[in-house]
Amino acid sequence: MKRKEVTRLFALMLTVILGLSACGKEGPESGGEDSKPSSAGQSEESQGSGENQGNGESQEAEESQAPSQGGTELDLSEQMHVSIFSQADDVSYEEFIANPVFEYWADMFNLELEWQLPPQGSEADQLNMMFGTQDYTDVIDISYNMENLATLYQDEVIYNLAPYLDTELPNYKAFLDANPDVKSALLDDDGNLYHFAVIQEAPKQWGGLVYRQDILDTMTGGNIQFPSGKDAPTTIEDWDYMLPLMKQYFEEANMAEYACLIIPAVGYFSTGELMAGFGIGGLQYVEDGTVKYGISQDAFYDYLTKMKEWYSQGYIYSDFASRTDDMFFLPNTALTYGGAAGVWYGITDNIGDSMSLPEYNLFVNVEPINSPANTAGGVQKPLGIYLDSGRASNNSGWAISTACDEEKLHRLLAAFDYLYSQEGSNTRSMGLSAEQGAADVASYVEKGVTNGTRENGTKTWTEEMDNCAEYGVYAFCENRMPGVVVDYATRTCDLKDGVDRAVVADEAWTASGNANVYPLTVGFTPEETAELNKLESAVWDYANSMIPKLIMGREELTEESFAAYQAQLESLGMPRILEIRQAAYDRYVEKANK
Amino acid sequence: MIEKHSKSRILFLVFNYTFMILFALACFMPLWHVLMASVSDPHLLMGSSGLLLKPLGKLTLEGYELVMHSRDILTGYINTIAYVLAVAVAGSFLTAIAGYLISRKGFRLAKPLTIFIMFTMMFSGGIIPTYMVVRGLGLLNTRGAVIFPSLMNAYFIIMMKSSFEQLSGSYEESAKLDGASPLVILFKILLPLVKPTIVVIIMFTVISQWNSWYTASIYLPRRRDLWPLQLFMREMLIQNDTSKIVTSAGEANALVNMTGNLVKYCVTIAGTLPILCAYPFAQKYFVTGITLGGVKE
Repeated sequence: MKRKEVTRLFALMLTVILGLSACGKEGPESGGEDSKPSSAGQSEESQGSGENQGNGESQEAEESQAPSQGGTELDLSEQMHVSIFSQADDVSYEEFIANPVFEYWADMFNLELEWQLPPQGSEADQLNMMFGTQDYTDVIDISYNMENLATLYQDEVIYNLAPYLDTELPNYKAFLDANPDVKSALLDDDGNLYHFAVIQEAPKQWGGLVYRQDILDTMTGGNIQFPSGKDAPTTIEDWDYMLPLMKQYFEEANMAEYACLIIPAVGYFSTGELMAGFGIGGLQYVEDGTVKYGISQDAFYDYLTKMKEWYSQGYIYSDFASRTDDMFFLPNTALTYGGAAGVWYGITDNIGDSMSLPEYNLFVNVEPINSPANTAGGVQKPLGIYLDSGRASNNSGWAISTACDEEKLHRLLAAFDYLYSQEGSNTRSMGLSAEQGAADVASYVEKGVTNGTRENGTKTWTEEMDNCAEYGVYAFCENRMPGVVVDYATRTCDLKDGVDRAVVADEAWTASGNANVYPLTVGFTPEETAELNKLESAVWDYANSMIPKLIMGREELTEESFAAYQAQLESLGMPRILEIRQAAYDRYVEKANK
Repeated sequence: MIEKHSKSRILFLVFNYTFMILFALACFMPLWHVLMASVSDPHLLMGSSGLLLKPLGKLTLEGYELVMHSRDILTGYINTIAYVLAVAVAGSFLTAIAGYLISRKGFRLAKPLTIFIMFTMMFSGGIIPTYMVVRGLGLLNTRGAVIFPSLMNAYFIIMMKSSFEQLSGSYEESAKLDGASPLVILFKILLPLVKPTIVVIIMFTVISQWNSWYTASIYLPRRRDLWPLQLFMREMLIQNDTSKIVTSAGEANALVNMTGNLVKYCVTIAGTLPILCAYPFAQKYFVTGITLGGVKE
């Protein structure tokens, strides 16, 4: 064969291969006009045409009664199999999937749900395995996703939902249009939307510092006199008054092990509690529009000095640094629940007398408190760092994967859109009503809550639910499910002195506001995410090993040694971290102000 | 006659016994602590620290009652026993056959097969390729995903091969002269002679399978009902989640937390005791079995 003929043959083969590959390309970009990746303009257009008021409160329930697809009736005649990867942390049912809400929702859209519920602690491993093997479930819970959602879309793992907002997601679109803060948090800079978010109607702070007021009452005969003159400890001086009393109490009680104050193993709260009293945040925070890092600020030296002093006086839990796998909000439960802790990072459930054990003559009164201000150091009010996680974030919710074909995609769009309607939001947040067949659900009958009526869409628990401390909220609602989490009325069992304990705690923990918080919803580009992960990992590794040593006195704490510590943070990339975070924050602010 | 020991011998024996006793205590005490904690008063237990030599407060079996009524624990036990039996029986059978095959002197492929098997001891495919093979075989979310990949162990095959090679060739020759078929030679003549090695392989397999959780966590993501006991235990111990055993029915927050703490100790005992009981029965084969393959004729 001559060279010319060979060349022609290769050219022909190349043409055929290119032609075939062009025809055969599938994935999120090939399923027709709707599933093409949206451009910013396309999304803007769809957002601009909001025809619905949107808020779950004001929507008519009837709007979403009949499943529809872009205004036309959805064909639900055939049952559709849908696989879902999700966390499995339900506490009210033997199995996460046994919650009747799921069954109701699946029946409504004729879905056969198959769950992939990874063992607790293996969620991230399994998600990475899924990505690695491209063996995607139809729906993916993104809570454990470490990738940028835009990257997942670019890698053809998940769909972009923005093109469907106008046509197939009327409830979701209406809610976003009516709630610009949520919309701003969920849509990226190009107007893309990658998941069905869990949206809080009225989020409350779930955790913060708490202290055992009953100890102070016991030690002072009810005559607590904080130096600040306030009813609660609000300054470092107040804590200097409080901690010795606690120590004395525990020692007089002959406790084998106790802790006046429990701090995290790394020596500081990453969310900034305690440090806020010294005028700085924990990790990243914002001051006058400038992004800063608490553990690299000069005032951190004052914090360390005080912690070192308290540690040496036996006020800080002696083994704080040796704790390994417990999160800071899950401190040594043997101490907290055993009545041997004075101050720790508590959660709403700890407030009041809920930690008392009358069977063992343990009666406690736990009160929420704000960080103490270092008034001697010139700080009159703690920094406003209370983490308002926003009403929605890109870290929770479900995305539709490219494992879904067109037909399944449309069915799922309708099914998820329902969860943003008023009825859908109520159902996922408060469980099935009598009209929805609560009386036919065995677990409801067993718990005696079959009369779950929500008249005219009002958000109230039924009378039975109102006195149901033993049932737990999640017997009815499903907190992992996308949709709007409605702000349901307070149940009797959640009251403390006649007030919702969540409200009491929220008021104390957010007393300084959140003006200095670096929002969780600040978005990064995939490149920024990669660089930031690398740099922050190095910085945290160093800081988290040094800080406990400085507090415990295993490393000398002087102005010189602290300067060396700061210099090391600089060399590990602190300036670049701040630069990346500042740029992303500026974009976030600009988008929010549009 | 009473043997007289030299001073240095006595010194060695004192040191030896002291060290062995301390070592045994170091192994035994954590288990004893867990056992004592599992029958202690849950409230006192929460406030205690350090090693427990006796139960705290009034002895209670409250934690065990909760554990025994847990559906997860029951499911885990059934599955683990199924996996252990399947892998131990089928695995040792296949290992014996494989070891016998590559130990035959006249078998041409013996060497290449041995090299092939040893290669897998040094180089592994990795998690994702293995996962893809399991998926490709349609084993994902089935018991087969846990059983089949565990059946053959290269180390055990080599151990078996060495054991067979160490036996005198005259056993086989005389059996052949008596008209025995290869299968009869293997099962009636040679296998009984390498019984200690087989017992050791079974014991190792049983222990590793009893403690195994990772395979199931990877290959059974959609079938919680097929999880082994250790995977449920991991959730409870590592993830601090005993909520599925200690329901909050009518109990205060603190009480639930306190009982959950007790349950963790009970679960540990429940998961360890069966395998601990099996150990003494295989003890006598251990040294013989492990060293059998390492002695040259």
